[in-house]
Amino acid sequence: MQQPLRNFFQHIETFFDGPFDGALNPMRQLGSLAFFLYWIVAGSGIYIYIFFDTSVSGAYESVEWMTNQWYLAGIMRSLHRYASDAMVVVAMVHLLREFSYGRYVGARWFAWFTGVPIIWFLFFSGVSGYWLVWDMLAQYVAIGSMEWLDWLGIFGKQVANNFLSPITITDRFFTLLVFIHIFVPLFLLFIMWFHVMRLKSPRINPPKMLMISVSLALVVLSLVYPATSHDKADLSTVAINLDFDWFYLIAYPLFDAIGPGPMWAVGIGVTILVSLVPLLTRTKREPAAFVSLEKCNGCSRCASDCPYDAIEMKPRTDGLKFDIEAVVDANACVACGICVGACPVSTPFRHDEQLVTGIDLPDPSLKSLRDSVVDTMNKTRAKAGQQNAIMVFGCANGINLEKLSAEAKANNIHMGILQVPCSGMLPPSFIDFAISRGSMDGVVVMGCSENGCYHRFGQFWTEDRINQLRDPNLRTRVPRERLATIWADPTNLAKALNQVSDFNKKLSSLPAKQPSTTSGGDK
Amino acid sequence: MEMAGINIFYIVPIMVFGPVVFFVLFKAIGIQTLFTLNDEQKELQRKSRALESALNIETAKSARYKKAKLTPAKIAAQAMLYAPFLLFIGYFSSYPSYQYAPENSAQIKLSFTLLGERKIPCTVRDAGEQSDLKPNMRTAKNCSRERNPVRVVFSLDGKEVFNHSADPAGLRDDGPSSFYQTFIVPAGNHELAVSIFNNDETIPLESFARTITLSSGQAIALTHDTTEGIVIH
Repeated sequence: MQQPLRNFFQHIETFFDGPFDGALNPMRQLGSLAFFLYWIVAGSGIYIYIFFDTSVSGAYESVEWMTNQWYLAGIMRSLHRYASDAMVVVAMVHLLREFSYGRYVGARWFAWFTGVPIIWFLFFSGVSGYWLVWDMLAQYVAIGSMEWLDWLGIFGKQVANNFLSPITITDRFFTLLVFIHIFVPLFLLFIMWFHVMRLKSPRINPPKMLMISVSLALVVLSLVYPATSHDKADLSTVAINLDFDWFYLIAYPLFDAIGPGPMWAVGIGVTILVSLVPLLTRTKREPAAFVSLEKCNGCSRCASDCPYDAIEMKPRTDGLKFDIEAVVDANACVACGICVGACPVSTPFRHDEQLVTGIDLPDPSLKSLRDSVVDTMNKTRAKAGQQNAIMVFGCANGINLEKLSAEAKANNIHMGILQVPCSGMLPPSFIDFAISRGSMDGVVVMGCSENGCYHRFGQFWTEDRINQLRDPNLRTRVPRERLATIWADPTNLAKALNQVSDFNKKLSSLPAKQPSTTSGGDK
Repeated sequence: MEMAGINIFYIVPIMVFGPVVFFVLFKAIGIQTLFTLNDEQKELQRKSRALESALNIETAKSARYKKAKLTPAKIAAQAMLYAPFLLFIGYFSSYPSYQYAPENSAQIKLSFTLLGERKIPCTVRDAGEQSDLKPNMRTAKNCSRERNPVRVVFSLDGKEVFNHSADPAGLRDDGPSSFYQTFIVPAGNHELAVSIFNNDETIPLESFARTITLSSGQAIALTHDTTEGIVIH
């Protein structure tokens, strides 16, 4: 189920990359979009609360007044509803997408697990909002909600009794409903904060242009199709037909059909099932990164680049002259290797037999990476003969390198492939090594689709290092025309092959590569 | 004494206990650590910032903040993609309609909160028994707290549609027994009959029978009042 879903998302994302130019692709901004929609809901909610009458008798009229002021309060009311609905859609798609990409494995279980109560609070926030309009839909939703809660038997008296007849509902109880609608969304925000707190620099704001376009779209919808109410609630009548908000109220018809007890069983069952996804689909957890203090000078690059905040700089413990040292939190580490790529000691030019770096992965270690690179380059060079030999470094979540290599071979392109957990693990010096020392004609660095890095920042840091915006830099001496970056998901094999083919043609048009000027390694 | 419609004496406990609660949360429980850094952490932060600035991190130019290159064609394509999304949101926010009950039907709600009879009937204390008690405990009757379950039977048009026994609420079984049930019925004339039983006795404590006419969409509630007995709202 996961793979077809992942393929589906990757096709959609590729399709969206065209008009949204990658950087604005909403499918890769779902989490931050949910945050943004929350702020729209909160802002419009504060505005309409100013005009909202919190009494039973006045609530409906005040909402009607707002609806009739179509040019301002009406827009705000519609925005409040449609942004809430959009938030449900975005949050659910976000959940499905993260599931399809397996982004709940290892240390990522925390974000997944804390995402589950968000769904409950999101629905509770929306449902409590429907109570306040105090129309026939509100009456139906309020009574249904209370009957559902009453089944628990935790209230001395049935709460649904407040809605028996027009004389049983009081302003005081109605004020309580207003309070619920204010405090539940605040709790929701608190849990949303909890949801991202283990991530480094969580993306909680989408790009400005996306914010503008989403806001504009919701305003257009609010103007074209303003939110309206049903008739005023009347507890001496029962609503027979209701215009339903299926985003928030989808559980109510099921509740009517199966009753409160089974409905609790369904709700709790689904919650437990979704919460336990990281356990049910348990995959082998890769061993965490480790620090070799004799090679760590406390430069902080690894801590700065780690997307999971799994590295902390702490006071030195080994008596060396440096102030601080890197300490890995093994529970938060997902073994992406980005820290290895960030460490300035991670260079293949060094002569050390063991090639110990400041921070390394047990598997693949930097030494095994260098050995594999040397081996792959030698084989590729030998096979290529006088033709171009290209070294391809690819990430574990992008294009299938074996397939790409086979396709390339069929097109007479000679590629040596090496897979790393994330493109960000590749120290830039390896590119230099492959071109200047390894007699490769060109190097390709491949990774997940643009802005869709499985490990969040690997792609960004790789580009920044190549463009000398982030240490460790790719040295100036490396001819950039012999280097290509390809960001594509596994469904884009043909596109990637085209890019490799173009790169191969470009390499052929370049003057012959100068022999390496580096006679020794960087000590 | 009121200020802006609020009795200011209500605010006094908040003013007195609020800072105490805040102090406990802030100091004793340690919430302060979320907001403040100790000297060691401050020093580390300073060094870390100094290092970061030396790392040549130009965030504005970073690939992470790469700007989209939008053309009029791309903007038009975006609008084309927003349209189905808005249609989806707009449509399912109100449609399709949900039919909660069949056309031309009405609703009857049963809602009773009934105190069952005491499990052990009250006994009268004589003067001697009363004098053995503390002055504030000297009541004329000795009553058990526990109460019996209550059973409610509801018949609609001569057919029994609800027969339920509810235990008393409370850890000591001293609270009321609660009943809540809704029925969707066709509009028109209906014979209602309710009987309330103590525990599993066969003779009802209270009985109620009435013929009513319900119009389409009408909702009525049958409740119990200690003075009036079963009433229809």
